[in-house]
Amino acid sequence: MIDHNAWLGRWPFRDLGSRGEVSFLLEAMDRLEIHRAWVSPLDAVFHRAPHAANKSLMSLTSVHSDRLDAVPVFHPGLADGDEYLHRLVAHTDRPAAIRLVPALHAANDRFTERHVEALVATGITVVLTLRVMDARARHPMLPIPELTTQQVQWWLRKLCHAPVVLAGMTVTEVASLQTDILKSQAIVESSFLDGEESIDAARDILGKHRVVPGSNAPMNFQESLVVKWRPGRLTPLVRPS
Amino acid sequence: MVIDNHVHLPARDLETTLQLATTLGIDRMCMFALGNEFDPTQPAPPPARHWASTGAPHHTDAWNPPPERITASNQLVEQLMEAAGGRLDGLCFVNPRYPENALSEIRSRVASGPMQGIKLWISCLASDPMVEPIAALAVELDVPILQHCWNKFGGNLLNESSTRDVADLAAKFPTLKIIAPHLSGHHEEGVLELAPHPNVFLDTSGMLPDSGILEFAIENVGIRRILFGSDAPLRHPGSALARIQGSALSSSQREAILCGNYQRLFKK
Repeated sequence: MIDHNAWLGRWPFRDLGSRGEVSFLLEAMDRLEIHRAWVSPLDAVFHRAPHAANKSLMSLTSVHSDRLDAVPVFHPGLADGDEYLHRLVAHTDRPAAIRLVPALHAANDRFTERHVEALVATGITVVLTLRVMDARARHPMLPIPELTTQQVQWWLRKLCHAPVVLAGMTVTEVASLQTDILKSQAIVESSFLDGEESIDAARDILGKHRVVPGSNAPMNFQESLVVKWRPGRLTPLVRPS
Repeated sequence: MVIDNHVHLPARDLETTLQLATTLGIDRMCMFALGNEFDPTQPAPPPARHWASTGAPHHTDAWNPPPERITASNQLVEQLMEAAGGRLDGLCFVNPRYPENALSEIRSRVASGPMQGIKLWISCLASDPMVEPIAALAVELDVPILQHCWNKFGGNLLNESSTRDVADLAAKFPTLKIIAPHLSGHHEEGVLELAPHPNVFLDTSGMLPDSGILEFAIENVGIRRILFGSDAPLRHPGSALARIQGSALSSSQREAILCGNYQRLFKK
Protein backbone atom coordinates (compact mmCIF):
# COMPACT_ATOMS: atom_id res chain seq x y z
CA MET A 1 0.00 0.00 0.00
CA ILE A 2 1.36 3.41 -1.01
CA ASP A 3 -0.03 6.69 0.28
CA HIS A 4 0.17 8.99 -2.75
CA ASN A 5 -0.80 12.17 -0.93
CA ALA A 6 0.88 12.90 2.40
CA TRP A 7 2.58 15.93 3.88
CA LEU A 8 5.12 16.78 6.56
CA GLY A 9 5.38 20.06 8.42
CA ARG A 10 3.10 22.70 9.85
CA TRP A 11 -0.19 24.30 8.84
CA PRO A 12 -0.54 27.92 9.92
CA PHE A 13 -4.24 27.76 10.72
CA ARG A 14 -4.38 24.65 12.87
CA ASP A 15 -2.23 23.01 15.48
CA LEU A 16 -1.31 19.62 14.05
CA GLY A 17 0.78 18.75 17.10
CA SER A 18 3.32 16.08 16.28
CA ARG A 19 1.29 14.79 13.35
CA GLY A 20 3.42 16.68 10.88
CA GLU A 21 6.63 15.04 12.08
CA VAL A 22 8.43 12.18 10.37
CA SER A 23 8.36 9.98 13.48
CA PHE A 24 4.57 10.28 13.75
CA LEU A 25 4.09 9.45 10.08
CA LEU A 26 6.39 6.44 10.18
CA GLU A 27 4.76 5.09 13.33
CA ALA A 28 1.30 5.40 11.73
CA MET A 29 2.56 3.72 8.55
CA ASP A 30 3.95 0.83 10.57
CA ARG A 31 0.74 0.42 12.54
CA LEU A 32 -1.46 0.62 9.46
CA GLU A 33 0.76 -1.42 7.15
CA ILE A 34 1.29 1.41 4.68
CA HIS A 35 4.56 0.59 2.99
CA ARG A 36 5.50 3.88 1.37
CA ALA A 37 4.27 7.46 1.38
CA TRP A 38 4.76 10.30 -1.05
CA VAL A 39 5.39 13.31 1.15
CA SER A 40 5.46 17.04 0.42
CA PRO A 41 6.41 19.95 2.67
CA LEU A 42 3.23 21.52 4.01
CA ASP A 43 5.08 24.72 4.90
CA ALA A 44 5.95 25.26 1.23
CA VAL A 45 2.30 25.80 0.39
CA PHE A 46 2.38 29.15 2.16
CA HIS A 47 5.90 30.27 1.46
CA ARG A 48 6.44 32.71 -1.38
CA ALA A 49 9.17 30.37 -2.57
CA PRO A 50 9.19 26.69 -1.61
CA HIS A 51 12.95 26.20 -1.87
CA ALA A 52 13.83 26.09 1.84
CA ALA A 53 10.92 23.82 2.75
CA ASN A 54 11.81 21.48 -0.12
CA LYS A 55 15.41 21.35 1.05
CA SER A 56 14.35 20.37 4.57
CA LEU A 57 12.00 17.77 3.16
CA MET A 58 14.65 16.16 0.98
CA SER A 59 17.02 16.01 3.88
CA LEU A 60 14.38 14.32 6.07
CA THR A 61 13.30 11.80 3.48
CA SER A 62 16.83 10.86 2.47
CA VAL A 63 17.23 9.25 5.91
CA HIS A 64 14.05 7.20 5.38
CA SER A 65 14.29 6.52 1.69
CA ASP A 66 13.01 2.99 2.21
CA ARG A 67 9.61 4.36 3.33
CA LEU A 68 9.27 7.97 2.23
CA ASP A 69 9.42 9.45 -1.26
CA ALA A 70 10.05 13.18 -1.44
CA VAL A 71 7.58 15.14 -3.54
CA PRO A 72 8.87 18.72 -3.49
CA VAL A 73 6.58 21.60 -4.27
CA PHE A 74 7.25 23.52 -7.47
CA HIS A 75 6.01 27.07 -7.94
CA PRO A 76 5.93 27.57 -11.71
CA GLY A 77 5.33 31.30 -11.42
CA LEU A 78 8.80 32.05 -10.06
CA ALA A 79 11.52 33.38 -12.30
CA ASP A 80 14.02 30.63 -11.51
CA GLY A 81 11.69 27.81 -12.57
CA ASP A 82 13.87 26.26 -15.29
CA GLU A 83 17.00 26.28 -13.21
CA TYR A 84 15.26 25.09 -10.06
CA LEU A 85 13.59 22.22 -11.89
CA HIS A 86 16.93 21.18 -13.30
CA ARG A 87 18.40 21.16 -9.80
CA LEU A 88 15.51 19.11 -8.42
CA VAL A 89 15.63 16.39 -11.04
CA ALA A 90 19.42 16.28 -11.07
CA HIS A 91 19.51 15.81 -7.31
CA THR A 92 21.15 12.60 -6.12
CA ASP A 93 17.81 11.55 -4.67
CA ARG A 94 15.68 12.40 -7.68
CA PRO A 95 12.16 13.00 -6.33
CA ALA A 96 9.39 10.48 -6.96
CA ALA A 97 7.22 13.31 -8.20
CA ILE A 98 6.83 17.08 -8.11
CA ARG A 99 3.80 18.75 -6.60
CA LEU A 100 1.93 21.78 -7.91
CA VAL A 101 -0.51 23.74 -5.74
CA PRO A 102 -1.97 26.15 -8.30
CA ALA A 103 -4.77 27.58 -6.13
CA LEU A 104 -2.25 28.93 -3.64
CA HIS A 105 0.68 29.65 -5.89
CA ALA A 106 -0.55 32.47 -8.06
CA ALA A 107 0.14 31.97 -11.74
CA ASN A 108 2.43 34.43 -13.42
CA ASP A 109 1.77 34.82 -17.14
CA ARG A 110 5.40 35.55 -17.83
CA PHE A 111 6.73 32.30 -16.41
CA THR A 112 4.03 29.73 -15.61
CA GLU A 113 3.34 28.28 -19.03
CA ARG A 114 7.03 27.98 -19.94
CA HIS A 115 7.92 26.36 -16.63
CA VAL A 116 5.04 23.91 -16.85
CA GLU A 117 6.33 22.89 -20.29
CA ALA A 118 9.77 22.40 -18.76
CA LEU A 119 8.23 20.32 -16.00
CA VAL A 120 6.48 18.07 -18.51
CA ALA A 121 9.74 17.69 -20.42
CA THR A 122 11.44 16.19 -17.37
CA GLY A 123 9.12 13.17 -17.59
CA ILE A 124 8.64 13.24 -13.85
CA THR A 125 5.24 12.52 -12.28
CA VAL A 126 3.29 15.64 -11.34
CA VAL A 127 1.00 15.74 -8.31
CA LEU A 128 -1.59 18.36 -9.22
CA THR A 129 -3.14 19.44 -5.93
CA LEU A 130 -6.72 20.65 -6.18
CA ARG A 131 -7.21 21.24 -2.47
CA VAL A 132 -5.61 20.58 0.88
CA MET A 133 -8.78 21.05 2.90
CA ASP A 134 -12.54 21.21 2.54
CA ALA A 135 -13.44 24.72 1.36
CA ARG A 136 -16.15 24.95 4.01
CA ALA A 137 -13.53 24.63 6.72
CA ARG A 138 -11.18 27.34 5.58
CA HIS A 139 -9.82 29.94 7.92
CA PRO A 140 -11.18 33.46 7.23
CA MET A 141 -7.64 34.54 6.41
CA LEU A 142 -7.51 32.04 3.56
CA PRO A 143 -10.27 33.25 1.25
CA ILE A 144 -8.60 32.04 -1.93
CA PRO A 145 -11.12 30.38 -4.24
CA GLU A 146 -10.69 26.76 -5.23
CA LEU A 147 -9.73 25.93 -8.79
CA THR A 148 -12.67 26.14 -11.17
CA THR A 149 -13.52 23.32 -13.55
CA GLN A 150 -12.09 25.40 -16.38
CA GLN A 151 -8.83 25.90 -14.49
CA VAL A 152 -8.47 22.18 -13.81
CA GLN A 153 -9.14 21.55 -17.51
CA TRP A 154 -6.40 24.05 -18.38
CA TRP A 155 -3.93 22.23 -16.13
CA LEU A 156 -4.90 18.84 -17.51
CA ARG A 157 -4.32 20.10 -21.07
CA LYS A 158 -0.95 21.56 -20.15
CA LEU A 159 0.08 18.37 -18.38
CA CYS A 160 -1.43 15.92 -20.88
CA HIS A 161 1.96 14.45 -21.79
CA ALA A 162 3.03 13.97 -18.17
CA PRO A 163 2.08 11.29 -15.67
CA VAL A 164 -0.23 13.12 -13.26
CA VAL A 165 -1.75 12.31 -9.89
CA LEU A 166 -4.79 14.48 -9.16
CA ALA A 167 -4.71 15.12 -5.41
CA GLY A 168 -7.75 16.22 -3.44
CA MET A 169 -10.28 15.61 -6.21
CA THR A 170 -13.89 14.86 -5.28
CA VAL A 171 -16.06 12.30 -6.99
CA THR A 172 -18.26 15.06 -8.36
CA GLU A 173 -15.20 16.52 -10.06
CA VAL A 174 -14.21 13.09 -11.35
CA ALA A 175 -17.63 12.82 -12.98
CA SER A 176 -17.66 16.32 -14.44
CA LEU A 177 -14.07 16.13 -15.72
CA GLN A 178 -14.04 12.50 -16.79
CA THR A 179 -13.49 13.27 -20.50
CA ASP A 180 -10.50 15.49 -19.73
CA ILE A 181 -9.04 13.01 -17.23
CA LEU A 182 -9.42 10.10 -19.62
CA LYS A 183 -7.75 12.06 -22.42
CA SER A 184 -4.78 12.69 -20.16
CA GLN A 185 -2.50 10.27 -18.32
CA ALA A 186 -3.91 11.35 -14.99
CA ILE A 187 -4.86 9.13 -12.10
CA VAL A 188 -6.79 10.23 -9.00
CA GLU A 189 -5.79 9.68 -5.39
CA SER A 190 -8.53 8.87 -2.93
CA SER A 191 -8.28 11.26 0.01
CA PHE A 192 -11.29 13.36 -1.01
CA LEU A 193 -13.26 10.44 -2.47
CA ASP A 194 -15.00 10.10 0.83
CA GLY A 195 -18.60 9.11 0.17
CA GLU A 196 -19.60 5.57 1.02
CA GLU A 197 -19.26 4.48 -2.60
CA SER A 198 -17.14 7.28 -4.01
CA ILE A 199 -14.09 5.16 -4.72
CA ASP A 200 -16.21 2.60 -6.52
CA ALA A 201 -17.91 5.37 -8.48
CA ALA A 202 -14.56 6.91 -9.46
CA ARG A 203 -13.23 3.51 -10.51
CA ASP A 204 -16.37 2.88 -12.55
CA ILE A 205 -15.86 6.19 -14.33
CA LEU A 206 -12.10 6.10 -14.85
CA GLY A 207 -11.18 2.43 -14.67
CA LYS A 208 -9.90 0.73 -11.56
CA HIS A 209 -6.22 1.32 -12.26
CA ARG A 210 -6.70 5.07 -12.34
CA VAL A 211 -7.72 5.47 -8.70
CA VAL A 212 -4.97 5.07 -6.09
CA PRO A 213 -4.73 5.37 -2.29
CA GLY A 214 -4.01 8.73 -0.70
CA SER A 215 -4.65 10.18 2.75
CA ASN A 216 -3.93 13.94 2.85
CA ALA A 217 -2.26 13.24 6.21
CA PRO A 218 -1.62 14.94 8.56
CA MET A 219 -4.55 17.25 7.76
CA ASN A 220 -6.63 14.07 7.65
CA PHE A 221 -6.00 10.56 8.94
CA GLN A 222 -4.06 7.77 7.31
CA GLU A 223 -6.51 5.45 9.06
CA SER A 224 -9.10 6.77 6.63
CA LEU A 225 -7.04 5.60 3.66
CA VAL A 226 -6.68 2.15 5.14
CA VAL A 227 -10.33 1.67 5.93
CA LYS A 228 -11.42 2.78 2.47
CA TRP A 229 -9.04 0.40 0.74
CA ARG A 230 -9.13 -2.50 3.20
CA PRO A 231 -12.49 -2.10 4.95
CA GLY A 232 -12.04 -4.82 7.54
CA ARG A 233 -8.51 -3.81 8.51
CA LEU A 234 -9.46 -1.16 11.05
CA THR A 235 -12.23 -3.13 12.75
CA PRO A 236 -10.12 -4.82 15.43
CA LEU A 237 -8.37 -1.53 16.12
CA VAL A 238 -11.57 0.46 16.50
CA ARG A 239 -13.74 -1.89 18.52
CA PRO A 240 -13.30 -1.26 22.24
CA SER A 241 -12.21 -4.35 24.09
CA MET B 1 -20.30 -2.11 20.86
CA VAL B 2 -20.05 0.61 18.21
CA ILE B 3 -23.08 2.82 17.48
CA ASP B 4 -23.26 5.27 14.58
CA ASN B 5 -25.49 8.14 15.65
CA HIS B 6 -25.83 9.80 12.24
CA VAL B 7 -26.93 7.79 9.20
CA HIS B 8 -29.07 8.84 6.27
CA LEU B 9 -31.21 6.55 4.15
CA PRO B 10 -29.18 3.80 2.43
CA ALA B 11 -27.45 4.73 -0.78
CA ARG B 12 -28.49 1.48 -2.40
CA ASP B 13 -30.30 -0.95 -0.18
CA LEU B 14 -30.48 -1.83 3.48
CA GLU B 15 -28.62 -5.09 3.08
CA THR B 16 -25.57 -3.36 1.59
CA THR B 17 -25.61 -0.79 4.39
CA LEU B 18 -25.81 -3.45 7.07
CA GLN B 19 -23.10 -5.52 5.40
CA LEU B 20 -20.69 -2.58 5.29
CA ALA B 21 -21.47 -1.80 8.93
CA THR B 22 -20.71 -5.39 9.86
CA THR B 23 -17.42 -5.31 7.97
CA LEU B 24 -16.45 -2.14 9.81
CA GLY B 25 -17.55 -3.40 13.21
CA ILE B 26 -20.51 -1.02 13.56
CA ASP B 27 -23.18 -2.79 15.55
CA ARG B 28 -26.00 -0.29 15.49
CA MET B 29 -26.99 2.82 13.55
CA CYS B 30 -29.41 5.65 14.08
CA MET B 31 -31.10 6.54 10.77
CA PHE B 32 -33.31 9.38 9.66
CA ALA B 33 -34.77 10.87 6.51
CA LEU B 34 -34.58 14.46 5.32
CA GLY B 35 -37.88 14.48 3.49
CA ASN B 36 -36.11 15.05 0.20
CA GLU B 37 -34.71 11.65 -0.63
CA PHE B 38 -37.52 10.73 -2.96
CA ASP B 39 -40.91 11.81 -4.10
CA PRO B 40 -43.43 9.01 -3.68
CA THR B 41 -45.27 10.20 -6.77
CA GLN B 42 -42.12 9.91 -8.91
CA PRO B 43 -40.11 6.89 -10.11
CA ALA B 44 -37.52 5.49 -7.70
CA PRO B 45 -34.31 7.51 -7.29
CA PRO B 46 -31.25 6.55 -9.30
CA PRO B 47 -28.82 4.10 -7.72
CA ALA B 48 -26.12 5.17 -5.35
CA ARG B 49 -23.24 5.29 -7.76
CA HIS B 50 -25.13 7.83 -9.74
CA TRP B 51 -25.79 9.74 -6.53
CA ALA B 52 -22.15 9.64 -5.66
CA SER B 53 -21.14 11.27 -8.90
CA THR B 54 -23.91 13.81 -9.16
CA GLY B 55 -24.72 14.67 -5.56
CA ALA B 56 -27.72 13.59 -3.53
CA PRO B 57 -31.03 13.90 -5.38
CA HIS B 58 -32.25 17.01 -3.64
CA HIS B 59 -35.50 18.56 -4.70
CA THR B 60 -35.38 22.24 -5.47
CA ASP B 61 -37.48 22.79 -2.36
CA ALA B 62 -35.31 20.45 -0.29
CA TRP B 63 -35.21 22.89 2.59
CA ASN B 64 -38.98 22.93 2.91
CA PRO B 65 -40.46 19.45 2.31
CA PRO B 66 -44.26 19.28 2.52
CA PRO B 67 -46.07 17.10 5.07
CA GLU B 68 -46.87 14.26 2.66
CA ARG B 69 -43.19 13.82 1.77
CA ILE B 70 -42.15 13.97 5.41
CA THR B 71 -44.68 11.34 6.40
CA ALA B 72 -43.63 9.07 3.52
CA SER B 73 -39.93 9.47 4.41
CA ASN B 74 -40.51 8.68 8.08
CA GLN B 75 -42.63 5.71 7.08
CA LEU B 76 -39.73 4.42 5.01
CA VAL B 77 -37.34 4.75 7.97
CA GLU B 78 -39.76 2.78 10.13
CA GLN B 79 -39.90 0.06 7.48
CA LEU B 80 -36.10 -0.09 7.38
CA MET B 81 -35.94 -0.25 11.18
CA GLU B 82 -38.29 -3.19 11.16
CA ALA B 83 -36.34 -4.94 8.40
CA ALA B 84 -32.98 -4.41 10.09
CA GLY B 85 -33.64 -6.87 12.86
CA GLY B 86 -32.87 -4.51 15.74
CA ARG B 87 -29.74 -2.90 14.29
CA LEU B 88 -31.40 0.42 13.44
CA ASP B 89 -32.71 3.14 15.68
CA GLY B 90 -34.61 5.97 14.05
CA LEU B 91 -35.19 9.68 14.37
CA CYS B 92 -38.42 11.32 13.28
CA PHE B 93 -37.73 14.04 10.71
CA VAL B 94 -40.08 17.03 10.85
CA ASN B 95 -40.43 20.46 9.26
CA PRO B 96 -41.25 23.16 11.85
CA ARG B 97 -43.05 25.15 9.15
CA TYR B 98 -45.83 22.54 9.33
CA PRO B 99 -46.40 22.37 13.09
CA GLU B 100 -49.50 20.21 12.95
CA ASN B 101 -47.77 17.56 10.89
CA ALA B 102 -44.57 17.89 12.96
CA LEU B 103 -46.26 17.31 16.31
CA SER B 104 -48.44 14.56 14.93
CA GLU B 105 -45.45 12.74 13.41
CA ILE B 106 -43.53 12.98 16.70
CA ARG B 107 -46.47 11.74 18.75
CA SER B 108 -47.16 8.79 16.50
CA ARG B 109 -43.59 7.74 15.72
CA VAL B 110 -41.69 8.68 18.89
CA ALA B 111 -44.19 8.84 21.76
CA SER B 112 -46.21 5.87 20.51
CA GLY B 113 -43.91 4.43 17.87
CA PRO B 114 -40.47 2.88 17.46
CA MET B 115 -38.37 6.04 16.94
CA GLN B 116 -35.98 7.40 19.56
CA GLY B 117 -35.76 11.12 18.84
CA ILE B 118 -36.30 14.00 16.44
CA LYS B 119 -34.33 15.26 13.46
CA LEU B 120 -34.38 18.89 12.30
CA TRP B 121 -32.55 20.01 9.16
CA ILE B 122 -32.67 23.32 7.30
CA SER B 123 -36.35 24.20 7.16
CA CYS B 124 -35.71 27.03 9.60
CA LEU B 125 -33.03 28.14 12.03
CA ALA B 126 -32.83 26.38 15.38
CA SER B 127 -33.30 29.76 17.03
CA ASP B 128 -36.57 30.38 15.17
CA PRO B 129 -39.71 30.44 17.37
CA MET B 130 -41.22 27.87 14.98
CA VAL B 131 -38.98 25.27 16.62
CA GLU B 132 -40.30 25.95 20.11
CA PRO B 133 -43.40 23.68 20.08
CA ILE B 134 -41.21 20.83 18.83
CA ALA B 135 -38.59 21.51 21.50
CA ALA B 136 -41.30 21.61 24.18
CA LEU B 137 -42.63 18.24 23.05
CA ALA B 138 -39.12 16.77 22.99
CA VAL B 139 -38.64 17.92 26.58
CA GLU B 140 -41.98 16.42 27.54
CA LEU B 141 -41.05 13.09 25.94
CA ASP B 142 -37.44 13.36 27.16
CA VAL B 143 -36.00 12.59 23.74
CA PRO B 144 -33.11 14.33 21.94
CA ILE B 145 -33.32 16.54 18.88
CA LEU B 146 -30.55 16.17 16.33
CA GLN B 147 -30.34 19.69 14.90
CA HIS B 148 -28.20 20.03 11.77
CA CYS B 149 -25.65 22.83 12.07
CA TRP B 150 -22.48 24.13 10.43
CA ASN B 151 -20.32 27.19 10.52
CA LYS B 152 -19.33 27.32 6.86
CA PHE B 153 -16.63 29.51 5.50
CA GLY B 154 -18.38 31.61 2.90
CA GLY B 155 -21.78 31.36 4.59
CA ASN B 156 -24.39 28.76 5.40
CA LEU B 157 -27.29 27.70 3.22
CA LEU B 158 -30.63 29.41 3.51
CA ASN B 159 -32.05 28.56 6.96
CA GLU B 160 -29.04 26.44 7.84
CA SER B 161 -28.35 26.77 11.56
CA SER B 162 -24.97 27.74 12.95
CA THR B 163 -23.67 26.80 16.39
CA ARG B 164 -24.98 30.18 17.55
CA ASP B 165 -28.54 29.16 16.65
CA VAL B 166 -28.12 25.87 18.49
CA ALA B 167 -26.72 27.68 21.51
CA ASP B 168 -29.79 29.97 21.48
CA LEU B 169 -32.14 26.97 21.41
CA ALA B 170 -30.16 25.28 24.19
CA ALA B 171 -30.43 28.39 26.35
CA LYS B 172 -34.19 28.68 25.75
CA PHE B 173 -34.74 25.01 26.66
CA PRO B 174 -32.06 24.07 29.18
CA THR B 175 -33.53 20.61 29.75
CA LEU B 176 -33.83 19.84 26.04
CA LYS B 177 -31.16 17.40 24.86
CA ILE B 178 -29.72 18.58 21.56
CA ILE B 179 -27.23 16.82 19.31
CA ALA B 180 -25.23 19.30 17.23
CA PRO B 181 -23.73 17.21 14.43
CA HIS B 182 -20.79 17.82 12.09
CA LEU B 183 -18.03 18.53 14.58
CA SER B 184 -15.48 19.40 11.90
CA GLY B 185 -17.93 21.97 10.58
CA HIS B 186 -18.22 23.69 13.96
CA HIS B 187 -14.51 24.44 14.06
CA GLU B 188 -12.89 25.46 17.32
CA GLU B 189 -15.04 28.59 17.66
CA GLY B 190 -18.26 26.59 17.38
CA VAL B 191 -17.10 24.05 19.94
CA LEU B 192 -16.41 26.89 22.38
CA GLU B 193 -19.81 28.44 21.66
CA LEU B 194 -21.59 25.19 22.54
CA ALA B 195 -19.37 24.27 25.49
CA PRO B 196 -21.29 26.29 28.12
CA HIS B 197 -24.53 24.44 27.32
CA PRO B 198 -24.45 21.06 29.09
CA ASN B 199 -27.59 19.97 27.23
CA VAL B 200 -25.78 20.09 23.87
CA PHE B 201 -23.98 17.01 22.58
CA LEU B 202 -21.66 17.03 19.56
CA ASP B 203 -21.43 14.35 16.93
CA THR B 204 -18.31 13.59 14.96
CA SER B 205 -19.94 13.35 11.53
CA GLY B 206 -19.38 15.53 8.52
CA MET B 207 -16.60 16.52 6.17
CA LEU B 208 -13.37 14.68 5.76
CA PRO B 209 -12.12 13.65 9.18
CA ASP B 210 -9.85 16.52 10.20
CA SER B 211 -7.15 15.77 12.71
CA GLY B 212 -7.09 17.65 16.01
CA ILE B 213 -10.68 18.88 16.33
CA LEU B 214 -11.89 15.84 18.29
CA GLU B 215 -9.19 16.26 20.93
CA PHE B 216 -10.07 19.97 21.11
CA ALA B 217 -13.75 19.13 21.64
CA ILE B 218 -12.99 16.62 24.38
CA GLU B 219 -10.84 19.17 26.16
CA ASN B 220 -13.51 21.86 25.98
CA VAL B 221 -16.90 20.15 26.24
CA GLY B 222 -15.86 16.96 28.01
CA ILE B 223 -15.84 13.36 26.88
CA ARG B 224 -19.44 12.67 27.96
CA ARG B 225 -20.95 15.00 25.39
CA ILE B 226 -19.50 13.55 22.19
CA LEU B 227 -21.10 10.88 20.00
CA PHE B 228 -19.75 8.96 17.02
CA GLY B 229 -21.53 9.80 13.78
CA SER B 230 -20.63 9.10 10.16
CA ASP B 231 -23.10 10.96 7.90
CA ALA B 232 -23.15 7.81 5.74
CA PRO B 233 -23.73 7.29 2.90
CA LEU B 234 -22.62 10.85 2.10
CA ARG B 235 -19.42 9.96 3.98
CA HIS B 236 -17.75 6.60 4.23
CA PRO B 237 -18.56 5.25 7.70
CA GLY B 238 -15.12 3.70 7.86
CA SER B 239 -13.51 7.04 7.23
CA ALA B 240 -15.58 8.46 10.07
CA LEU B 241 -14.42 5.63 12.30
CA ALA B 242 -10.86 6.38 11.28
CA ARG B 243 -11.24 9.78 12.92
CA ILE B 244 -11.92 8.08 16.25
CA GLN B 245 -9.13 5.56 15.82
CA GLY B 246 -6.63 8.12 14.56
CA SER B 247 -7.22 10.66 17.33
CA ALA B 248 -5.21 10.61 20.52
CA LEU B 249 -7.80 8.99 22.80
CA SER B 250 -7.68 6.58 25.71
CA SER B 251 -9.65 3.35 25.39
CA SER B 252 -12.27 4.65 27.83
CA GLN B 253 -12.67 7.85 25.80
CA ARG B 254 -13.03 5.79 22.65
CA GLU B 255 -15.64 3.59 24.28
CA ALA B 256 -17.59 6.65 25.48
CA ILE B 257 -17.70 8.17 22.00
CA LEU B 258 -18.37 4.98 20.10
CA CYS B 259 -21.10 3.71 22.35
CA GLY B 260 -21.42 4.76 26.00
CA ASN B 261 -22.57 8.33 25.46
CA TYR B 262 -25.17 7.26 22.93
CA GLN B 263 -26.54 4.65 25.28
CA ARG B 264 -26.79 7.16 28.08
CA LEU B 265 -28.38 9.84 25.93
CA PHE B 266 -30.91 7.52 24.35
CA LYS B 267 -31.39 5.49 27.53
CA LYS B 268 -30.44 2.24 25.82
